[in-house]
Amino acid sequence: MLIIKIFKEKTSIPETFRIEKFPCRIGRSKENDIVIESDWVSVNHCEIVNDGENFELRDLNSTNKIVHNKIILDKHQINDGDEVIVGDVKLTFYFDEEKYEKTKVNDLTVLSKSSLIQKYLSEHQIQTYFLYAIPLLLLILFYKMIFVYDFTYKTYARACVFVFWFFFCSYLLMVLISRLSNGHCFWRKLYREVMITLTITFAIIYSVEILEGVIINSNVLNFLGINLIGWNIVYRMGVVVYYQFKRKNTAIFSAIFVVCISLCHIGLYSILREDQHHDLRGTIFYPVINYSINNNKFEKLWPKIQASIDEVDKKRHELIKEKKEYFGR
Amino acid sequence: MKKYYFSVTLGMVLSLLTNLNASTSNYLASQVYSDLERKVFQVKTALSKDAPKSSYGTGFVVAIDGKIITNYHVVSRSLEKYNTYQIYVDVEGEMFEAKILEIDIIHDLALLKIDKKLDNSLKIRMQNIKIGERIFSMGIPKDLGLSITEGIYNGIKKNGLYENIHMSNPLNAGMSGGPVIDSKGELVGVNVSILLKSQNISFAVTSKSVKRILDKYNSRGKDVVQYSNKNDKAVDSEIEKQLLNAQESLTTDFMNTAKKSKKEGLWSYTKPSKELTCWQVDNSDKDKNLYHEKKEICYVPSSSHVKHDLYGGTYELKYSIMSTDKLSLVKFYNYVNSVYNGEQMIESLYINFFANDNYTKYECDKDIVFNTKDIPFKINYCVKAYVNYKGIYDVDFKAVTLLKDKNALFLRLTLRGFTSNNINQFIQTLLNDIRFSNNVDYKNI
Repeated sequence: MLIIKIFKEKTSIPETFRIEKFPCRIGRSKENDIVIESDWVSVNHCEIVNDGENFELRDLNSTNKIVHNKIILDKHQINDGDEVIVGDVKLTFYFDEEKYEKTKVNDLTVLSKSSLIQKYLSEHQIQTYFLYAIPLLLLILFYKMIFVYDFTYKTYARACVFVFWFFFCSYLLMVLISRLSNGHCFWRKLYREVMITLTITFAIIYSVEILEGVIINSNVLNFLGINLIGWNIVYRMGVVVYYQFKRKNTAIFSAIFVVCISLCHIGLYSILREDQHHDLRGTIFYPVINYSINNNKFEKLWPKIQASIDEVDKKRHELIKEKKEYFGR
Repeated sequence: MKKYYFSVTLGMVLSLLTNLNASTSNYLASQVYSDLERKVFQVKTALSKDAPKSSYGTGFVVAIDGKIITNYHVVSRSLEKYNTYQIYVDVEGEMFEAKILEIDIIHDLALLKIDKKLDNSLKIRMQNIKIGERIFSMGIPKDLGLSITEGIYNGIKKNGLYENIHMSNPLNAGMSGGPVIDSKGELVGVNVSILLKSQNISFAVTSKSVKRILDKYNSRGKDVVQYSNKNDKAVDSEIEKQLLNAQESLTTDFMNTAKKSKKEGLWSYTKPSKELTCWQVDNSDKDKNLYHEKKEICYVPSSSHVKHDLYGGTYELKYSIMSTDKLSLVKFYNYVNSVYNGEQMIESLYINFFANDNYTKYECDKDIVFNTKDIPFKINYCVKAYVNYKGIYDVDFKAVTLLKDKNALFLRLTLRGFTSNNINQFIQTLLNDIRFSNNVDYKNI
């Protein structure tokens, strides 16, 4: 019999497994005998084989391999009390029950220190979710507090309510995602991608707004060339290129995401172009502004208005045609 | 104590006077009523002779061969394409089908004709009337039967560019199109509208306009046109002509006063015409004195009614002048931006997404433009065309500028039923007339 103690997080209680059936597989997917939920552990990471006397830990062509004493290994013969790192998780092996019982006391003291949230959610989840949620929250609040002209006590109260709901909802979302992600990181990745996109979008919107406020009549905007789709696609492509060399699955995932996001943006943008009078936020959705004092007088504006008048006339003719066909007059 | 005493005596005198007058006017009213009883009829539109009405009003005889005057809005239903409403005139219980001979959408008049010889017609009074003279309104209010109300002539009020009689006769739905008569039984005007949320302020079309529409018909000679939904091309071209006239006179009026400019704080802009009704509001931040805002809204009080959801020949101007000492430039920019974005360009999404029978979809765009004084403007505009009338457009236009020393100006222009030439004139003069008194070189901002 082999006893394995797995430290999934530094602060929570380690899980113990008593293994009698061999070979025993370790990995992220649910088909494995021992499931470890971590981004750093591969779907099928490694297996433990028993050849009668000795136990051997074999790597199953995983991404992050097995590490023992800071050396990366493909195979490792297990000794009593060995510490091996799989992905970012520490495994400790024991051959008999007595030695294991002695280490248990230490674990309990660790447990008493862990907080309520950590009992329900793993440290990993907290890291991945709050890492992206908090910057977004701070960005929004920071902008509202400093740059919006009517930030009074009323808006402060509103902000408090906003913060409460933000955390409440993101907590619910976290629990939901942890239930949905059966060892696969799809949902977590999706969440992360959405959060990053949102943060970047808000950052661009706000920074442009601040810039507009400071230099509304300047040609600097010209240089910036504010175009949301452009910025976002550049960022996405960066993600694809970055992951190309590291993880294939993530790269493919991100590539699909690029296509989806850009399609969404194009859809949104075409709607916005259709009714630009809605004017969501100043000139943010306005593509590269090309103007200078000398050639943007009224003489240049009028042809534009005339063009839209002609466009409206075209629409009118189409409508009359349609009606004539329909009513036969 | 003294005041109270005075008011009581005054009240007593007044009540005495009215009592006296009432007794004399009763006599007059009954005389006028019996005189006109057979010259005033109910006019209605309905799908057939016996069908229930879809709209109703009053009309009166102007020529014994069966010519009847009523309001255009009473019979406008029958001119709508793809509808089969007919006009019927109720002459002593008998329904006569009526044809439209002439329309005047600006003054809201229509000349009808029925195939019946009538006994006698109303005389049109061309002499001037004194303010304070007693006048009577006749009509069939709320389908209750012919009735007469009395009031006082309060002079000619300019409703936009057009003259209307201002009187104190109480009017109700169904009385529109009825005659306004002096004590001799001569026509003074035609009931047309009331001022909502007011006490006995009502308006009538002048007898001059009635004369004009009759003259117009007579001058046609043999080229008489039939206005009906079966002849919609003639209707459309006539309405188009009148809409064009209305906008042309508004534009010339605008251009005449546009030479003068109005100063407001450090800014100066085109002086709004006298024909407009103007309001000014101080929207400054009262709690902390963070920013100052002065808002001026001017609009033409009248419009040319074509259908129940189609009108033209009117425009609105809005100026907002903003400045601040306390806010930072970014915060002030955010405030100006909220003013700019808060101004809705279009009443509802529905109108824009789906073209309806009357208008095309909106066509919108934005730009950054400098005027002749090199003040930069951020501009949004939307244009839509009238489907049935050629070369007539609605324009929604807004512009904002924010100068370096935290002075901002917002301009909003709404044009209803204008030609592209006049739209050009409006926008050009309004933009180029905006000036800032501090002679800053804007090129270096």
